[in-house]
Amino acid sequence: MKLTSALVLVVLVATIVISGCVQEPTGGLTEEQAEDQALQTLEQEMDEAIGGMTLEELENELLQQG
Amino acid sequence: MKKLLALAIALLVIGVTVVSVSAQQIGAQQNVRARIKTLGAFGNGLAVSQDNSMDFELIRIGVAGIKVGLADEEATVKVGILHFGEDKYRLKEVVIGNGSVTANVYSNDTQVGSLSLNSYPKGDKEVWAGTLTLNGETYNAYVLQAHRLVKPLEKAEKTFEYCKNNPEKCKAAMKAVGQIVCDPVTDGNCRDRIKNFCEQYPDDNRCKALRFAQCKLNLEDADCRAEIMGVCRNNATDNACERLGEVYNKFVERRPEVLQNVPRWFATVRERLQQQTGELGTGQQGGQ
Repeated sequence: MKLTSALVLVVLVATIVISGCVQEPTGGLTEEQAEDQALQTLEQEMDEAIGGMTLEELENELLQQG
Repeated sequence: MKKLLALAIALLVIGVTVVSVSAQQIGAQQNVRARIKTLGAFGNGLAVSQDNSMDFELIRIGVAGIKVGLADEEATVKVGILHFGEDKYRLKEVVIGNGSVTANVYSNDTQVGSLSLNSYPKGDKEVWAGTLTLNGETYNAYVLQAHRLVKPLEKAEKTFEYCKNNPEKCKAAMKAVGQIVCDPVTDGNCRDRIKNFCEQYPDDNRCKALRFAQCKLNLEDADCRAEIMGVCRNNATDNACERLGEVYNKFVERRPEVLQNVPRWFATVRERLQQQTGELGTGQQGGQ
């Protein structure tokens, strides 16, 4: 009897803990998280594509246009 | 009894650990890389005070609609960053139009200015010009659109969009340059297959054709305008050039002085547009 009660208790606790752990991922990021992620991506793109331009390089670009 | 209980607890601990680790892995797999969907002004430039032409500052600007979110739910967030000298600002209330960008400038959460830029073709580049108001001072701002390497996934998503919204035309565009990858009219999964194929082979002629077709419908995207401009340099008669010409012409008509040193393809398209509307152009037309 005691054994059965102990096993039932363990199964119950296990069910509660495990169901808490495998919650479905929620629908998406919050608006703030999404904006932060977007800004981070944009910043990375800017660093990669236009990060290192010096005043001299900009001047050369402008002279090429002129 | 004690042994059994200890065994049950040990099993429970192992079970919880395994399940929580695999749940984290599933979550990580579902996180999709954020990527640029629509590019606005993006480059280095100068801001020159309207009151004193010798009061100028180097600026760097990035404005884009970025696709973010989980695999099953994605959203496009429009964001912007402005570097004014050593200071960095965030752009909010961003609006990206066909060759135009407007936004408000924020320092932390306080609005400190606003920005309005239009794009013009100059030589073989696109230049943004407009006004920037910052901390009570108004500047004329000029930004050279930077060349950005568009990632294979971003390219592939353009083909996906086109085939999702125009399955018949998608099929015809592929047929025009080769065999179809699959039939988007009858096969609901075809657009996903095309996306995967085009991510793997972005330089395939079919992928290029689909991307170009999507770009014709997406002239608010500076990457698309750059792609179309590349084609127009060699073939100004393509109907995409006329569409792009109409975008630039809108701003040129307001500011005819920017017509100096416009690319030859734009001068040609502009002549054609003027013939169609019977209007006489103003300003000086260039060509190179």
